[in-house]
Amino acid sequence: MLKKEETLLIVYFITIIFLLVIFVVGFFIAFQRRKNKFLKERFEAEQRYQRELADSQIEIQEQTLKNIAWELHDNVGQLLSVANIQLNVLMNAVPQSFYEQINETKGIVQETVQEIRTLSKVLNNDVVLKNGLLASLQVELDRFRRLGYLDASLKITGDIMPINSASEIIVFRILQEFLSNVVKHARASKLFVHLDYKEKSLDISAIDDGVGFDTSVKTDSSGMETMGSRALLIKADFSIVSEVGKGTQLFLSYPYKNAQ
Amino acid sequence: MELGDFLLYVLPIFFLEVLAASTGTYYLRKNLSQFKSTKYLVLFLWITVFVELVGSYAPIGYFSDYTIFSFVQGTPFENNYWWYNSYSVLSFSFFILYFISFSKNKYWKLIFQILVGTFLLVSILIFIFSGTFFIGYSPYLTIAGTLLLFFSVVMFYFELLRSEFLLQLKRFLPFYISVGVLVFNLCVTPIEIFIQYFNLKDGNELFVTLRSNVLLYANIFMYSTFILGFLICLKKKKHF
Repeated sequence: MLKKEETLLIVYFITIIFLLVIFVVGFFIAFQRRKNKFLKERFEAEQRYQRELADSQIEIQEQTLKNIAWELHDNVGQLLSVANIQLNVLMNAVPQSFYEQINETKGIVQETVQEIRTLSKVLNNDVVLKNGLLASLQVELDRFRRLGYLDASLKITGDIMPINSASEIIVFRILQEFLSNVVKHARASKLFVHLDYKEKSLDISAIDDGVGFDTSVKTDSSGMETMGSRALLIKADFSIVSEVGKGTQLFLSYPYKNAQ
Repeated sequence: MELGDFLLYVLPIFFLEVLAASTGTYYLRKNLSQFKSTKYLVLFLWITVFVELVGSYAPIGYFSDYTIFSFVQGTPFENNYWWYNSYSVLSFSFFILYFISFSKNKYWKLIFQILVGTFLLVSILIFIFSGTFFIGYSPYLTIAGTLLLFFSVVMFYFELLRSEFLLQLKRFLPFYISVGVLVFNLCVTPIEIFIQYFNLKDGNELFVTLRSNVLLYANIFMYSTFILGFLICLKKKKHF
């Protein structure tokens, strides 16, 4: 027969084994948790750094654009105004047969001044912010139409929601990049931009009927990457669909809640 | 021991075994398991249920005073030792191979396969020559099996430390299985060494109660861990 002490010893051993196993497993889990936390923190720090880098890049870009806008508006604009005055002076000094030509030149100079003003407006993000996304986009599209590049139309559906201004400027820059690509490369005659204000997100689509391109082929141009990284910055869904000969489509979906 | 006490100790275990096997089946049906061994594990859980069902013939006969299953009375099959002896050897071998299947080291795999083969061979020899096959459990086999299992789990943990699965330990099914099996076998082995005192002669009531309780709680712990593991691993997209 088994004595009471012997039974107790068995109980003791079983308890010790049980506690030891639980301790080892607990230690294992705690170690793994700590390690994961550490890795996660490092990864997050890396990401934060990348984000800040992208942020500062954009800031520099915006600053450059702003400087160009100022230069255009204040310098070039002023010079052209002076040229206009000179033409007025010239008109009084030459025979009447030159009047028509001089008037035409004056018209061109005035138009140029006007164009430079509008261009400087869309380049300067303060002005973009002041006018808002819709107005700025309209200005940009009107400019294209006026210059005869292409027939651009803007369609807005849904209830217009106010967007966080920092995101607004980025959305506008993405569209601007796309538009300038359309003008430069697509050889399109029609461009259709649709802003759909949905309940939770702003869905933007821009469609042209240009020559298109092969999306699988990597190009040197940084335009695509810039658009992509900008979309990433405001955590918007961004995609460009294109096929040779079938035009290009841009889709951008910006959820409002990302503004926080 | 009364029938009521016996049922109190056995029924919860059986119930948990069925539940674990069912949860395992549900887990398999719900997702494509990354590891083939999970399928075998669930199969093994169902085999356990089957073993328990068949093994219950002995207590049924005993408590009914052999009005049921009267043909086993007086034969070596009166007790179900032979049945559970076979099962415990199978169980040890299965779990060792199960944990080893996650190892990427070919040599360790081979070594453990050889060890399991030796274990099977030795147990057959012990059953034949010691004569304990029908009258009791062999403590040597239990100790050997537990130690082998312990080493295979340690191996498994070392491999785990080096693998990517460590990052998702909470969602790693074999981890739960290892905890359950390890605790169960390590805790039950000391009791099994004194198996010869597990009878109601000579005033061994204390030990009988102790063994019944240890087995009950160890089983509850093991199968609860299994069920918990299955349920937690069900909740994610990428399954193992």
